[in-house]
Amino acid sequence: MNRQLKTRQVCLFAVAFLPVTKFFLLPSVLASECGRDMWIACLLDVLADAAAVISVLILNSLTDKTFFELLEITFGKTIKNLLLFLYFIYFFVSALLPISEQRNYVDHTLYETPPSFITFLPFFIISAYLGLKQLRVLGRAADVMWIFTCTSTVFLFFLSLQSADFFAIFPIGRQSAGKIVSAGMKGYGWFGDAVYLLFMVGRFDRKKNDGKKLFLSFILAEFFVLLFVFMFYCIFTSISWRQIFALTEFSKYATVINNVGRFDYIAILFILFVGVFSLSLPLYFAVTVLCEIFGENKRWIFSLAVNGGVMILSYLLDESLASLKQIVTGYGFWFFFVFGNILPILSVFLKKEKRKIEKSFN
Amino acid sequence: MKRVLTKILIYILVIVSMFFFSNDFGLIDIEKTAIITAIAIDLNGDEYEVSAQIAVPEANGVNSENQKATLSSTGKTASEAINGLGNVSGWYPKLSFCNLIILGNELVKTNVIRVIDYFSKSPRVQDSAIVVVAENTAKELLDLSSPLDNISSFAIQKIILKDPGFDRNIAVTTIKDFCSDYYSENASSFTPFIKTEKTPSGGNQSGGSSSGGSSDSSGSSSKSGSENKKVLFDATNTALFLDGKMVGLLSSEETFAYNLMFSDVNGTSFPLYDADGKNYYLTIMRANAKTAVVADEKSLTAEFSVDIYCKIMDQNADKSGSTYINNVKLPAAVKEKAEETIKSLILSLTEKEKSTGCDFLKIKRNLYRFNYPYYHSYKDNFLSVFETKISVNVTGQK
Amino acid sequence: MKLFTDLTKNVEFLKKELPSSDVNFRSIKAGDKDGCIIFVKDMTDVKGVGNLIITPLHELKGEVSDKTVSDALYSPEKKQTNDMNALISEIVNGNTALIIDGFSTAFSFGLKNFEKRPISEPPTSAVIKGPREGFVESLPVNISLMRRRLKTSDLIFENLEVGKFSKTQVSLCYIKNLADKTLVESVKRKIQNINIEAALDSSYISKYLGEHKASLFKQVGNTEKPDILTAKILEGRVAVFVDGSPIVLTVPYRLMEDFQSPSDYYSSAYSATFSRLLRLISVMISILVPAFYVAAELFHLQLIPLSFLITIVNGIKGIPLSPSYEMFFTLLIFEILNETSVRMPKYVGMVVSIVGGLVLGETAVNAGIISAPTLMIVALSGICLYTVPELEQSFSNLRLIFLIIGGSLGGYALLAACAGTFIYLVSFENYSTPLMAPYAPLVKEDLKDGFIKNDLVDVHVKPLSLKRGGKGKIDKGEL
Repeated sequence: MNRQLKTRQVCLFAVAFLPVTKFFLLPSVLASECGRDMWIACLLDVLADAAAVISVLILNSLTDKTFFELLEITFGKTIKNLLLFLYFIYFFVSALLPISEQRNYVDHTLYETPPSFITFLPFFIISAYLGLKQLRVLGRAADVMWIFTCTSTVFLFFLSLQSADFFAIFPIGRQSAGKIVSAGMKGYGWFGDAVYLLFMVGRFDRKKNDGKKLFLSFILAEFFVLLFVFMFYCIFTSISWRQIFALTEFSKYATVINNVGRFDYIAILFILFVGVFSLSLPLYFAVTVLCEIFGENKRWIFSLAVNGGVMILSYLLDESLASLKQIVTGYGFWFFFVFGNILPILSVFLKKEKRKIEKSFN
Repeated sequence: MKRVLTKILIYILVIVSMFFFSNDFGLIDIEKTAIITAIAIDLNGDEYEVSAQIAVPEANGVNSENQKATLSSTGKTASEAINGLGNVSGWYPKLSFCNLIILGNELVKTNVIRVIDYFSKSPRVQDSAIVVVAENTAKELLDLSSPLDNISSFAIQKIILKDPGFDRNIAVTTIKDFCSDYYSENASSFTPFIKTEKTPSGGNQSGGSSSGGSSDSSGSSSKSGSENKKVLFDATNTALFLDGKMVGLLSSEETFAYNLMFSDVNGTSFPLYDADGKNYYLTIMRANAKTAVVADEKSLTAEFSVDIYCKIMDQNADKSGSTYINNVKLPAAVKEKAEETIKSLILSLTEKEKSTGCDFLKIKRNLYRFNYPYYHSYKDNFLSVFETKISVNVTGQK
Repeated sequence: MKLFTDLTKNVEFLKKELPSSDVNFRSIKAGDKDGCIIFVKDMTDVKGVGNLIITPLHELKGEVSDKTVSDALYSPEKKQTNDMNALISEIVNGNTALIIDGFSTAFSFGLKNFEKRPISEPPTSAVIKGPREGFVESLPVNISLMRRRLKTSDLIFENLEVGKFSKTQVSLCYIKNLADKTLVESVKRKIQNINIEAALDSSYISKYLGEHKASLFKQVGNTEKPDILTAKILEGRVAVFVDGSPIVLTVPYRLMEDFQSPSDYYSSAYSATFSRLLRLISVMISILVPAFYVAAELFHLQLIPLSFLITIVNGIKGIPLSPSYEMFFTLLIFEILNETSVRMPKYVGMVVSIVGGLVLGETAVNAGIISAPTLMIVALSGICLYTVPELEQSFSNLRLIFLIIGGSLGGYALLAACAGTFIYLVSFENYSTPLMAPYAPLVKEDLKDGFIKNDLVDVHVKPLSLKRGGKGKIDKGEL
């Protein structure tokens, strides 16, 4: 029952969904803090995530149990539920900024007139609908979506090559270590991808070398982000810090765009399409956590409640995107770092039952 | 649960259908949208005067030529003036298609970044739009028309944006480039400088000479002598900016030399006068230019090296009257003359850099990027201390 | 109800139950006993009745029994029953019944003979290369078409009856070791549970075979060609023949099936791949372009290239309808024309096409009621949809829904609607087979016959995404 995914689907899940939410506000946040060394700050975040991913993969190789089961074995039901509730808050909060920034992006770049609040409403309906589905559906979606993410990103990179000044990152490392680390801390709110893997532990089949494949796919996903951040600075150089709608700006300087028109929007729309899923991930897992605590049979109520809650909050915070950004990139770091990184790393110490001998399925 | 879900979906569809049929959702009325193709900005005292050229489509089959309208508005800031356009016309000013920003001659005496920044930051404006400087007022330039296109901004874009393989004798810059240069270490940028020249009245030709005697300058002439204000546009000169203010001008030849150093000039042609007693016209087939800054405690050297492989496109007939052109082999005298000409042009660029203070040759930027340990020693006095080393090698087929 | 042993009582009862004038009751003599032959006149081979039943019965002399009668009759298809209802059912199905006085059982003979449409090429799946035979309305003929192609004892037909009044014969067809047993049982159960008055066509049955009520998407495959059905059955599917319908149903169904045309298998892999990709792109254009066009006109002008925008603005000058209304009504007119041309007699249909397509379109543009770009987009969308005619119904509804969403909420809502449709499709399963297989979930082996088709010699593995019996059964975890 627990085995809803194949390793392939988890790998593609990482490649398809994880980079997309980082293509919007993150680059400008990093740029405003440490300019041309922003890619180093991003690398720090990637390395922090890599450590957590390795730790979760070790845990996955040592047990057949799900993260929920491991928590119960280690701490008992009450503590498990308490910890899961904290994770619910983590997912709920971590969904806020990406959703608000994407909404801001959609409102300002896609719509000519300031659109009504209702234009972004369908996202919450779809997210609530996704919340009703089993994890298997996300796996199946990833089987197709990775094509959109990869082709669109590569296409945008290709178009932007012409306008990139690759020497703009020189001199490397001239920012102080403190500034780079501080930028990394500010950007970490967008990372913490190991958590998704942690919540999928025990839910996918494993074979020999699967750990390597999983690690490489998570690294590939973050490599896309690193490359995006790198290209971002090479294109916008000294004005990177104010490019909050980078995705739209990225490729438009290509000669062919000047001649033919903005056909790069096809790739941008594909990324926004995948973005619907990517943005829904924290909400989906928030619903999953609630179902684990209170029971699966009221899943649709939880899905409606979580998505409705985030929707109301995101509309209430409509004019406070800057403040929200400030919180996430400020004190919020510790919150995101503890739940997104430290706890996944520590998860390897959870009490485990001996792993059963695996029977090959095929 | 499924029944509830189906009901919810039906309700949603009904509500959305109501929106669809009520059709009142803050939509843009496409017919009331002003498709702004160019913006001209002038400074009148302490107010900005923004003029917008608007493409006015004609109903099918009525007129094959694009029609235009020019609207003006003033404001203390650029955005105020642009929004004012909507107020005076009732049109919704649409800047997504604005591909040309023209700066007036008075405006460039002040820091233009105050205006350009608006276009750079606004998500509704393409910051890939080209920035140019007008010889006189920007509005005047917009009011002119060309027989190539009734809309002057389209005509200007035609001469500025050329496909690879055409002459690259214009130093093009976009809003994004202008801003990133402005905010970089050297705070120096450049834009094409548009000159105009009236066509001979009654002429029905295209091309013709323009300023500087450069025969490859882009120009156009009027279709009919009776039409007024039909002019040639020449964008081969380049305005230099330091800290957002215009500080100098590169001639057509200097612009060509600048492009030779910093752009892809393959396919561009240039004249060579009085080499071997004849005049030549050479086309660059392949050019490879490098700029480098070498610094140590004692000296700062800007190194420019250019390798050109070119062929002769045309020459004056020789004494025998033969018109045969050996366009592959390059006579030694021609090679020598070409190298000398290009070297002198590059030298002229370095002198222009020193005289204007505008680091368009990116010496300070390269010092920062590749010689960072010496950056602080030279950043304030690099213009006075840098030495120039130029090497030019022109070849034809061997 | 049991048969009476008294002939008169039996005949009286049957006359009461079958009062219709086309039911014939003919008395005969079989040896020392009286008997009666009952048949429906227009459905029976009367000559056969004479030669194979009446003549041998007349030749019987002396005392007769069940066995002597049975041995004497020449009819190859013969059944005995003691149930009155079963006997009535045999008669109304076109079989001939024989009741003999004093016998507790009656005989029925398969001597049906009614008018049939000859085997011809089905209009819905015409091919340039490949077999041209199509199924007809007669179940026995259809079964014979299958038997001719699969000469194996593993080919099973199971007969069932549907319809309180129609008593329509439904035949389940599968290959014993290839079709999953639970699948066969499940289909059988669903058909047995159908409680309708009449099953006039296979589409009646298909509604009951789907596992999701009120779904916008097709859940049961269908074909009119025996060669396609053979291929589908060999992949482990179960077919459902319905007497009176030339369309045979197949389950489980995958969306990919409808992108596979029969001609793909009779042409090169390259051209098949090209055709399939073309179909995919066409379907996407058909569903999304009208909606995106309206969304772009209303909300996202920057997505339209400037020169095209000027053309659009030129085109819509003076049009009284807003872009969304304009597109909606043009699509509506298209659907009306479509409906009319299908319903009209062929020669009138042609006139409707010309009047609708050319005159109405041209005049509407000239009169300034609709713009030329809108007309062009609706025409393009309409043509594109017919590259996959089997999905026309589902996708034309989807097109209208997307248009309403795009026209009211814009491009982002349209993207969200696409995402919602995608979630629905990937979570959709019928008989444990994912609708979107082999792409979601990705089943590598099945991709060989996907949009990018491998050469026929490489496609030797049967689809793993289908639930199959015997070897190659796939684990649920894969899906």
